[in-house]
Amino acid sequence: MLEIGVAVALYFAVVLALGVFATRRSSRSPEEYFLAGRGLGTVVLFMALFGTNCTSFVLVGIPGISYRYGIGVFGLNAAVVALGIPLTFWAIGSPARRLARKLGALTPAELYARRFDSRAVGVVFFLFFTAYTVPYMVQSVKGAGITAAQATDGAVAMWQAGLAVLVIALVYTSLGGMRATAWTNVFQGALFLVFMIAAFFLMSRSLGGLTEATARVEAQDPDLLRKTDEWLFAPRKWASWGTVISLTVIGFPHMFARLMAAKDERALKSVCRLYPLALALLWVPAVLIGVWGAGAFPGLEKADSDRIFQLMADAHMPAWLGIFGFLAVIAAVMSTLDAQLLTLSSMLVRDVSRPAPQRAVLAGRLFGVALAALVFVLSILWKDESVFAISRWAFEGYTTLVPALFLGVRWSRFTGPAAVASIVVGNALLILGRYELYPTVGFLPVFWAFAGAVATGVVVTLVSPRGSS
Amino acid sequence: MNAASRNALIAVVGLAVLLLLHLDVWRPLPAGPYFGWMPEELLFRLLWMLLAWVFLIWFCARVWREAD
Repeated sequence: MLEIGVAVALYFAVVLALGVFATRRSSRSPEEYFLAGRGLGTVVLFMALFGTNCTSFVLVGIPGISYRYGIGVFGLNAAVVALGIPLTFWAIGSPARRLARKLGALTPAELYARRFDSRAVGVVFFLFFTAYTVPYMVQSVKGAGITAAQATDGAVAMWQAGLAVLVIALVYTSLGGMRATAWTNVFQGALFLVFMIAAFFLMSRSLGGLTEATARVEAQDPDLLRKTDEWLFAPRKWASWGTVISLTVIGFPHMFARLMAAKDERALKSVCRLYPLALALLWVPAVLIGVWGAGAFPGLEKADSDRIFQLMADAHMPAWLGIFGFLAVIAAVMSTLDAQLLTLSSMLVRDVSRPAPQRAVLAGRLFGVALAALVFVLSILWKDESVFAISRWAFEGYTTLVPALFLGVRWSRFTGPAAVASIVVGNALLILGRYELYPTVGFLPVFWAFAGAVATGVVVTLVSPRGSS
Repeated sequence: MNAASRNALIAVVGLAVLLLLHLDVWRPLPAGPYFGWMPEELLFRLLWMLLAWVFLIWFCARVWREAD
């Protein structure tokens, strides 16, 4: 317990020191605070995007879901995003970065508000970004809590760990803005990536080698080593989820804002080349730790399976490295939370409430505190939901925003009303489909929601008078 | 057909092939495990990721134009 306390204190000290250092290197301009002066080069940009992208969904949720559904989880999620994420960076991120620079936009909502010369469009984007980012933040905080409770044998309660990561993330995000979060993401991303690679080899060795680890699972449940037709592996659900998981990341406002902070096109391209490699290095261990866990710790049900990552770290790694497992999860969580807090706060201040300049920073910080409080309460209320289930809800929602994000930067004729209609229809179809109010014929509701959002955006634009964009 | 159009066509075809492979319409590998431990599903997906990575490198070099 003492060792964990010291390790966590050291980790928080490094993160806060980086935040303070970044603050001293930053000027006071809004462009510097919100977008790091639009100057993120390849290495920092890559780690900022990767660190922000990977949260307890990967380190806690994916081992948990792999524990229950087996090796098919890798193809369901990891493989397809290795192609989907870089392509969306090209299709949407690249023109959005250029347009944001041209229009002087500092947030995703502001970019589209200026693109369509409509504050209402910015407000609609802000509302939907917030609606889906809050549950995504909840799963992060929940993942940190589960891991802390497991690592300390219950001495630290889930709510205590969740509160601690929220408060620390709030502090250093308020201090240094985008540059602080980007720099801390380099440290945090490196920490959890290195840990997962080490964990893969150390755990397999502790289990008697790769062959023995696989044989144990084969003896326990051979279906875990192949892709079945159940759950999201059924062909139409597989196709639907492939669409979601490939497209959702560009819909994260905290990822979108980081793309807008890229120094140049070359940095963005380099990130796209590196992304698949980093995903493979992170996801192979994440899935296999869950699958091996089914052989080592059978019997965990539903949300309880989210404990498997820390159970495996405690049982199959040296104690001091097990602590790093806990820190890796905290790092993954905080590297996303900080970006989410910063992006949503900045959108509120610049696109919705628009306080006087001298009050802008205070308003952003107060909103950050309110947001953190809401996330904290929801993480307690949703204690029986798995990390994957909460993330899935958010991912499907973000996917409905992608058609408007894409058409807004790639189609000059696309209009503001078309963007709003696309988002509203997409979300209506998503909600109606979840309540089975129309036949989904085997696909997930989000498949029809996405198709409806595309069709609505195109049709409303085509029936609008030319030149109205 | 100029070089840009040809590259765009290759990109569309390459993307379509990758998506078809992802959808499992054709599984080329016999059942594993490979190397004594790797399930066939994991090997297939890793090979798919390798193909996707090669595609992305080509895409960044030939299709993605730097506008800066």
